[in-house]
Amino acid sequence: MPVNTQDNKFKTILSAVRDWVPAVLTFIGIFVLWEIITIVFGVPVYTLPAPSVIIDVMIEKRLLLLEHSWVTFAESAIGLGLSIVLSIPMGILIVYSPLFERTVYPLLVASQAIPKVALAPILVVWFGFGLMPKVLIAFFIAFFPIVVNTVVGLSRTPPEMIHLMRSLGASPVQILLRVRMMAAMPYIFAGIKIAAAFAVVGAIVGEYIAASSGLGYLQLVANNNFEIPLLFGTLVVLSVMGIAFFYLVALVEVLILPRPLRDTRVNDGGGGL
Amino acid sequence: MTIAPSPSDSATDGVSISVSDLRMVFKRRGDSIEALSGIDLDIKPGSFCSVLGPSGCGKSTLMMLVAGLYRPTGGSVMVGGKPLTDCYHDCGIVFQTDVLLPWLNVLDNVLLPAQVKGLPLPAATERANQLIDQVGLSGFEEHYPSELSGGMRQRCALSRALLHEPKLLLMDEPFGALDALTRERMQLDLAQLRSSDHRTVLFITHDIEEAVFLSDEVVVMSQRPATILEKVTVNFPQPRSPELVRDPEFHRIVDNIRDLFRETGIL
Repeated sequence: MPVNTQDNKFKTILSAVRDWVPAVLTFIGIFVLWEIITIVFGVPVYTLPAPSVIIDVMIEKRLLLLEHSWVTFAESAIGLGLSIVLSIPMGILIVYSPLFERTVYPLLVASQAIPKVALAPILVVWFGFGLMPKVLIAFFIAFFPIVVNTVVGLSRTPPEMIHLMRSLGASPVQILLRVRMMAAMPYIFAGIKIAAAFAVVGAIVGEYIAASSGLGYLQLVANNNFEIPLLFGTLVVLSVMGIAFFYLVALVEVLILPRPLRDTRVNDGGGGL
Repeated sequence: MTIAPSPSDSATDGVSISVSDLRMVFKRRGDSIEALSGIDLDIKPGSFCSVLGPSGCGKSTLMMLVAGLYRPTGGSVMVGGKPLTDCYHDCGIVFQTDVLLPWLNVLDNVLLPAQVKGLPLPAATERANQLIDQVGLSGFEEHYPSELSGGMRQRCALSRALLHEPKLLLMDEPFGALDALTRERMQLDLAQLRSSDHRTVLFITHDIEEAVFLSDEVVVMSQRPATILEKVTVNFPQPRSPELVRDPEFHRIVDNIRDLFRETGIL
């Protein structure tokens, strides 16, 4: 029942810390072990560079990494943004139009069998070496999870809620905006979180095919030059970017959604009602 | 919990309901299920009418038809003397589950009818706070439904149904999901509501005592496809007092209905 909110907030933070500590310790433990193994067994740097070597390279080449990170970030962010802007209305159309549901939706589901990565060379042929093909691959990969989750979320609205709104004289638009979209929000955000990770993958794959910048390109260059520590350093930056994307979406979710609609797996410290 | 009428108007006057030869057949995967088979029913304005029947008999279907949320297969529903062509908008509905919007707090849930209908918010907020106070939810205005008990949620749902002063209150087993004590408390509270209020109530229930305790008229329904077995007039003065359940006449009516259910194989 009613709990002092200040106290509650403190408890939430405390339990969040408690939840995070084991994972962080494990993470650090792995790196320590890794460092020790490379020293004890004398693993050559071109097979598995020690974490300390990787960190050194990352500091040394920080400007290079930053420059290429920015490119990959922009590609994935634009791709993700585009997919969010287009997939939610598409999901709404599929739910509201029997025609779309019967024509477009099955195709969309079937299209998931196509490895979208294989589209990359074709997109390069069409759009050249610039930003565009990477943005499009990121978009294609990120689009589907959001559409599907929007469709599922909108369809799972309890019928009584719709009955209630209709009896109050609500228009279909009011029912969509006040009830169905809200009820679908946890699903939509779950879709966007998946899409955020996919978008980065799409951008990198695009860069592998044809690019003159970006972290994927930098990895190829490092690989060709046998700069293995830089290869690993790039991987670290990519991981950080993926995690950052995920938590950026989670942050937006916390900021715009009322408490009961938030994804509890991410935000709830395990306490609560 | 005494629900005072809105200070402003005569909106708490009820409407009449007239149902004639109402039929409803649901078609699912080629099967057709007959839910209602020729229901005739007349409810006077301001009357509290319970529809009593076994579960799955089509009572809820009847309520949905009166609300205009389903289209009947045959027959007609007249509310306030006019045949229903669409949803009847001047009604409040309380469902078996609270159907509160989980992302709105108590106050915003109660204000939902005003938001949807575009009623002036200052007046609606005043009325909402009055209702919240009367159902004993003061201090919980900012709480989300997930932070309330089942009884509190249903009180919130009742406040929401009354916010726009509807002429008709439809209640579909509103206390069915509550524990026994909370249910009894809510029944008494609802009985109190009748003291100052003249809107028509259609109350769906499978609880014989509840129906007799609250209603001016109890409509007893058969198993599916539902027909009306009997209409029982209950002539105790409103509002009903808790002592009514000790009245021999109350028990006579309850026993008669129970016998009726036995004769028809429902019990």
